[in-house]
Amino acid sequence: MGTRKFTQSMLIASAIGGLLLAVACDSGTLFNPAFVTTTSGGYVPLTPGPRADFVLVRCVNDTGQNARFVVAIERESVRLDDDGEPVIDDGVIVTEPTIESVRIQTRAASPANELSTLFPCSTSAINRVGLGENLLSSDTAVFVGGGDVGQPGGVGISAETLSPLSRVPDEGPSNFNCGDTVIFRAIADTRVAGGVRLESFLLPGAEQPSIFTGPNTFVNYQEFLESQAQTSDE
Amino acid sequence: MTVFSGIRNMRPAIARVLLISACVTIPFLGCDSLNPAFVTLLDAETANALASIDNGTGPIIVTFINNAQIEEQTLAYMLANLDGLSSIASDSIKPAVRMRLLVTYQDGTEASFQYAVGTAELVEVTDFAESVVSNVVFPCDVVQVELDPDRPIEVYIPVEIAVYELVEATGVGGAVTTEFEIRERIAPGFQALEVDDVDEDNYVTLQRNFAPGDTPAPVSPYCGSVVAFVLEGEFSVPFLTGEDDSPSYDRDDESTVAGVGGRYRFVTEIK
Repeated sequence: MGTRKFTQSMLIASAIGGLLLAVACDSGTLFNPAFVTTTSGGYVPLTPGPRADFVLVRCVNDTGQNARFVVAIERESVRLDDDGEPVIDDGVIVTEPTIESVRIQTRAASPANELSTLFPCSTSAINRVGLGENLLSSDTAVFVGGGDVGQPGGVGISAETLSPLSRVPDEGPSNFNCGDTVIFRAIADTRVAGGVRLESFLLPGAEQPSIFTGPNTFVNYQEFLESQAQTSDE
Repeated sequence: MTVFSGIRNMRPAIARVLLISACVTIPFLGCDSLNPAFVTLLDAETANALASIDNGTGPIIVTFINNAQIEEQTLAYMLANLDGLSSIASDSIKPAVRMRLLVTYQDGTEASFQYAVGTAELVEVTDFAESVVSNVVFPCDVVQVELDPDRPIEVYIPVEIAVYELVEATGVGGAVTTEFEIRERIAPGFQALEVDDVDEDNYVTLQRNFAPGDTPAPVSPYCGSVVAFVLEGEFSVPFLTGEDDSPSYDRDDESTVAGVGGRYRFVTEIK
C-alpha cells in the first residue's frame, strides 16, 4: 500500500471513528459508563449528593476471606422524656448524640466482597461515621474469616488505626458531609498485626454532577422513602 | 479515488482499524474508556478484558420497609409489661422482623444477606441488634433477588405465652367439669412466620401468617433500580378469654395456634 493510499485510509478511519466517538459522547453507548461518570459525570451517580440526603458507607473486602464490617454513625437525636415526648429547655428542643451501628457481611470473592448501606441524614445530622460499635479506637472494626451475622468466629481487627470521619466542630475541620460516600476497605497485609490493614476514602457528593442520563438510584430511593412516610401519615 | 471506494478497499481491515484509531486518536482515554458492549462488535478479545470494569450502570438498592402495626391489646400489654418501651412513642413501635434474601449475581455467584427491621428495644437476643439493617446497596450486576428458601421470615415474640389445655375434672359428688390447665410457658423469642395451608385446589384450609403469594416475590432488577420489600399487616399474640390476662392460648385451638405472631403481607416494589 502506497503512502498516499495509507494516509487516505487512516483519514477515513479517523473520520468515521471520530464521528462514532462524537455520537457516543452524547449517548453514552460507546464509552464505558463507569469511565464517563468518573471523568465528566452525568451517567449514573457514584455518591448520593448533592440531590439525595444520605451518607453512603461502602465496605470493600480485599482480605480474601469473609469479612463483617461494624459500621457506626453518630447523629444528633431529639432527647425524649419517659412519656416519649421531646425534652424542651428554654424553648429549645434538646438533642443528644446517639450511635447507630450495623453489620455489613461481605464475602471473600467478587462481586459479593463489596456492599454498601445508606444512612439518611435529612432529618437529623450525622456527625461521625466510622468502624467499631461505639466509634472508639478500642472497638473491633472488622471480623475477618468468620461466619455470617449471628454466628461466632472471625478474627477481630481493631479500629485503632482508623479514626472516624467527623464533622463535629470541636474535633477540627469537617471531613465529610451529607451526600458523601465513605469507603472503608480491609486489605490483606502481612506487614501489620492481624494481617489486615484498614483504609478509608471519601467521594464528596458536592463534586458530583446533579443531572444524570442514567437512573439516579439514590434520589429514587429517597423519593420512595418519602412516599412511604406519607402513606404512614395518611 | 472517492471516499466510498476507499471504504470498500479497506473493508477487510476496517473493524480493527476503527478500533485502533479510536484508541490512538484519543490516547488520553485509552481502551478502558470504551463500552465493552461496543468493543465486542469489533474485537471480542479486547471486550473480555474490559468486561470486569466495575459498576458502570448504577448500583441496586434492596430495602426492607416495615410498615406493620401492632394489634391494640397486644400493644397495651407490651407497654405495661416491657421495660425499655416507655421512651418510645407507642405509634412508632414496630414488630421486630428478620428475613434473609438470596442474591444471585451475573456471574452466578450467590450470597444471602440478613435484613432485620423493627424496634430493637423489643428484642433480647443480641444478634438482632447486630443485624438491624434495612437497606443494602449492591454493585451491578444482580440477576435476581429472592427470599432465601432455606430461611424463614421470623418475628420476635417479646412476651411469654402461656399454653393451656382444656381437661375434664371430676368434682365433688362425681360431677364432671372442664377447666383449663397450664401445660407450658413459651419464652420470648423469634418465631417463624408461615404460609397458610391449602388443599389440592389451593383453597386455604388453615390460615397462618401469610396468604399464599403474600411472601416476597423473586425480582430481577435492572442496574440502577430500587427494590423494596414492604411488610404490611399486624403483629399480635392471642389472649385466652376469661382465663388469663396475659398472652395465652388453648393448644387444641388449631387456628389460634397457627395465627400466633400476626397476619402479614409483602408488597414488592421496583422503582
